[in-house]
Amino acid sequence: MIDPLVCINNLDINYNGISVFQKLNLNIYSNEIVALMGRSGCGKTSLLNAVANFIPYQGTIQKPDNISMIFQDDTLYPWLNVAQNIKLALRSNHKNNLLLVNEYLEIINLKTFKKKYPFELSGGQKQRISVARAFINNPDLVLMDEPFSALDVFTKEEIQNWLYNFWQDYQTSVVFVTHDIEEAILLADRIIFLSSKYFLQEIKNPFSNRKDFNIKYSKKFLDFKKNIRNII
Amino acid sequence: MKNFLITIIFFIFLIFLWQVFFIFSFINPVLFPSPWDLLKIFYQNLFSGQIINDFFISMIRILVSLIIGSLLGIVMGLLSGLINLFQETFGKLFDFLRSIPPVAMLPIFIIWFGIGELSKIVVITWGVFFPIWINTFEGIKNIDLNYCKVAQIFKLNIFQKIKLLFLPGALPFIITGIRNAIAMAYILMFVAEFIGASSGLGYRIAESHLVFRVDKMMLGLLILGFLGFITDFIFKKSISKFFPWLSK
Repeated sequence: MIDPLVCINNLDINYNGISVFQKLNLNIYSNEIVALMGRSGCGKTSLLNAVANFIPYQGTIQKPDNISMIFQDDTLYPWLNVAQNIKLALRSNHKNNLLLVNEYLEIINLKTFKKKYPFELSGGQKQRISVARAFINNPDLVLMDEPFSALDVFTKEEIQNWLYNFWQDYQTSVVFVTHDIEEAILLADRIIFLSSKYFLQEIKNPFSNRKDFNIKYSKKFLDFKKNIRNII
Repeated sequence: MKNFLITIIFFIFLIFLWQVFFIFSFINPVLFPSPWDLLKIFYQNLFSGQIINDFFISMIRILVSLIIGSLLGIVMGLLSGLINLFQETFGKLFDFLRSIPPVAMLPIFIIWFGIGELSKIVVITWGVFFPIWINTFEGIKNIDLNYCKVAQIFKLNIFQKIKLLFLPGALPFIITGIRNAIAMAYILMFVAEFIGASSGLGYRIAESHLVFRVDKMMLGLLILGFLGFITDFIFKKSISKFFPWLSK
């Protein structure tokens, strides 16, 4: 039996006396991508916030130290330029940091933008930088809260591709919240459905070659999508 | 550039109108001298060195007080924003003290610190401190929660948080505080020099008042207005140069 990377036991989350979860149990394993799905208000974001230690909770969450996060909104610091924003994730002041930042900027094709400020960038460019910032520290776990919901379909596919490449290169675990069924199928190994107060069910993704976005048009994909819609 | 030209043309028009009123004797020249008379007085005083001397003395008082008041205001604002205990104790004390008009503190500062430079610098610093303190505090309270989450997830230490999050995040508020403080500094500089000084622009206006030299009084007022305007202009331009993200 493989030990889980994140082990959530009897998780209770309350907001002003209103319970979001009761006794939620969930494991996340190394090197897997997990999508959290469910209707609005079912507690997907609260679950991420609890894992990130942003909110108080009862129960236990065993997790690695090195966690990164990609947020739904633009969270690049407007007062830092692109290179400084990525460098933010590197905790130590190592002399190689600049080289590492340059390397990542090259990977996401934004090397010429390193001195630009966030207000000079498009939404897609900002989110690419957020992805680079999340992975530069070689984290054990990356949390993502609807990271691509504000992007157009082409930019979304492009950044999903970056993300997938980063995940393959760094063998990290990713847990993300999404309302987009296609996104969940294209990225996740496992899709977990939450409903109010308790963990509903999970399904394994049957698609292995998810880098090929054309699978979206296959009958198998459409049937799977319909199946997920029925569960939600 | 176009807006700048419009402003210049408007001011030239006002001066022209003023001179026309004077030529046609619509106004009493003893009470309201012409721009030409003011220009002559300006040149006389410029070459005697009096204006330059007064200007430097007043500006040094303002600059020293602004630097000390800003540093204190920002540090105390940071402490108020970050430490609840500090805000509930010292913060409340500052709230009480800022309700006292700074001008009303001048007589007691003169008794405590004497008639020399110290009482003037203390009263201007006092007036400068409060707008910067409260704006820094409000600025920190208004930082986007998501930016704080970023600092938390990437485990920034407190010094990194101050440098990379709290100070730049509160900067728009701090700048508003400094602009208010600059206006307050000019008011207090004038009052401090008017009440007890032997040099400076405020003293020169007070001295001219005693001998009924309206032309010299008006010259002093125009120089004060011009200085306040220029200081704010330079401050705004510096902000957009050094903090380009703020202008967007």
